[in-house]
Amino acid sequence: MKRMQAVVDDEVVRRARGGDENAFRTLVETHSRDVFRLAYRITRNEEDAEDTVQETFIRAYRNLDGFEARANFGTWLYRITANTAIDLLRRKKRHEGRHTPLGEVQPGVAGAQEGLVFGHQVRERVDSALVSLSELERTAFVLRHCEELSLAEISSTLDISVSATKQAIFRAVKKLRSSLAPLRDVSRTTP
Amino acid sequence: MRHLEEQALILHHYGEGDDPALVERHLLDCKRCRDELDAIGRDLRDVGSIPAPERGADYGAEVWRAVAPRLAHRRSRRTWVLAAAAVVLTGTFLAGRLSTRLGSDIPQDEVRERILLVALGEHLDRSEVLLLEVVNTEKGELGQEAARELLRASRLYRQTAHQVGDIATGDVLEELERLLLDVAHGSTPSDTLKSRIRDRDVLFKIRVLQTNFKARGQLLAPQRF
Repeated sequence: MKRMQAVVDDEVVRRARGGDENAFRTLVETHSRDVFRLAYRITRNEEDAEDTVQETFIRAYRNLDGFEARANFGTWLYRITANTAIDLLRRKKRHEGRHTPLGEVQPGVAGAQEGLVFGHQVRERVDSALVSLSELERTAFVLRHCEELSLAEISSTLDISVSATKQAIFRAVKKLRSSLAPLRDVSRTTP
Repeated sequence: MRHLEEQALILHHYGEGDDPALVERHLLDCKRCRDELDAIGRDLRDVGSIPAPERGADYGAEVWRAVAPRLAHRRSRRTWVLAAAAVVLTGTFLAGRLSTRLGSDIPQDEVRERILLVALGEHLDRSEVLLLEVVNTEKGELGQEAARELLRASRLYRQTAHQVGDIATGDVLEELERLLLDVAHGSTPSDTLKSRIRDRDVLFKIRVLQTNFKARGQLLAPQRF
């Protein structure tokens, strides 16, 4: 399982909780890149991901007292990151439309370029489909598919039932597969 | 033969199925479901790892530089909360009123902090009203009894501010305390008090403190994780 941080320095967290600023700085410096990667996968936008990273650490700092010592700091930070990203996307959605239409499928590109073009089209359609997912669907999917969290962990992270988690992931996969279906059809019909 | 639903196959792909042995047995006998599971696997492989832009090795330091100034506020608030607990406890009537209003699902530190901010705000409001009376009253009673009431709380707040190193707040509260003391004693001529309040911009300084505490209170909105 790909975790934000394999080894959690309990002592650093304990010192940070005690008000040691340098200890919290160590946590920020250790986890920032992983937090950014998760934030980007959920927000699909660098600027939003950057905002999410900063807001995540500020929320974490303000709520260090609520962190249970027996818990994994990385998982706790995941939870804050995912919810901060969802909050940010919901705020943005109230102000602007984020839908990006899917591009046209371009069949029949011959030769060595075909694989590259097909790969590019897959990426483009996956990206568009990810944007079209609801915040919950995308976050649940990213946590399962990319971060390899279990359903129980995702359920706890997003504060929803395991059943709702399954549904969110299922809907996400179904939409992603639908977005790729035209490419499959083209590849089947192209000589 | 009844085929497996897409949801069951997706969960099976992720190793999260309710009964993996049952699914495996079905797959042995059902080519259609095997093909569908393969198709799910192929689609999800194409989805891939969802690439994210890489950040350099010094990214953590950059993030720290960006967030560190925004953490200072909590440090001072937190210290205030811990050091001023005794002061807050003196306002138990406030605690009772507020805890009812705030509900039970808010962290106790936060509740105490909000109580402190409200208590300080009320103290500053009452002090401002008293000083305005002093400034605007031509003759007669200058609010000695009210000043005596405010004096004790003001002293505690001032001591707390100095203990936690909040010099600016401590200095204003010290100035306020000296004025309250003089008003409470009733021995300082009214004109002298008015001059001190005006010349040293005491009312303005109190309003600045009130604004700061209100801003702190607004930052205490509950957050969901």
